[in-house]
Amino acid sequence: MFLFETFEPGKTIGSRTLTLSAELLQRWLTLFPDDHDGERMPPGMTAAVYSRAYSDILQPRPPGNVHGQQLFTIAKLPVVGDTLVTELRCEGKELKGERRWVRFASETRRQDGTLMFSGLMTTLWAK
Amino acid sequence: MGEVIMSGFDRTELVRVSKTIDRPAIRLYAEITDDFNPIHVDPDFAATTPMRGIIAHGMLSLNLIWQSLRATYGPGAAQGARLEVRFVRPVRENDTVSAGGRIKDAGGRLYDVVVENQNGEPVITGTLTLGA
Repeated sequence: MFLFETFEPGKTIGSRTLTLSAELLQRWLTLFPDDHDGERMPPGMTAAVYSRAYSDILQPRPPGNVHGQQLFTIAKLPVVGDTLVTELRCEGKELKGERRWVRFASETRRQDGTLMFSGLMTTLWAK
Repeated sequence: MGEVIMSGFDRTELVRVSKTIDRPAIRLYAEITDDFNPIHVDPDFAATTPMRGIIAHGMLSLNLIWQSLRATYGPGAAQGARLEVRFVRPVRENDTVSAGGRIKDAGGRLYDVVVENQNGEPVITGTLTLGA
């Protein structure tokens, strides 16, 4: 179980690989039809790529975490068929009274090493 | 949504876009992101929480800011962009949220952005910096 005490600031927690499929893109477009841009991934899907890595790497984790803040910086948007490697790192953690805040940094690179996008997530971590 | 590609970043306001977040939308977002936190997908569990019901994933509504950017400057505008936000209020199922932005530095590339619910209450606030 990933607990607040588990996290070590500065330490890489893990990475996950995802190949952007036409099927996943199509599901996104079912939800957001206006995002169609050929085979290029819509920018909002950065959250999907990140969330899939986060959800898979941080297992098990306590239920009830609350998403407080998010930063995304997009260098380049992937296209269908790109294989993306997302690395997750604990950027920091802070105890404010009863509240346990954890910051996660992420970098998503194409398989050839090209940085595609990065993120910084601040989460109120549940017990 | 408009598909006009602007030659430069010269708009003082981003085009406003909106979406109603119903339960099927929340469920589909959970499937796309593999985020099945019960607060989003289990009404019985969600009813026992301080939220007293299902809330949407914050990043579902966040997409409306990207859509607002696209509606203003075209589909390529997100390349090089930096979006930094706080999730300040939950979005409940069947809320209608709308997103937009206003330039923060005249002549610059920095916008204050917001997503609001149907009551005009901010649910996401932040800044969007456009790429070069």
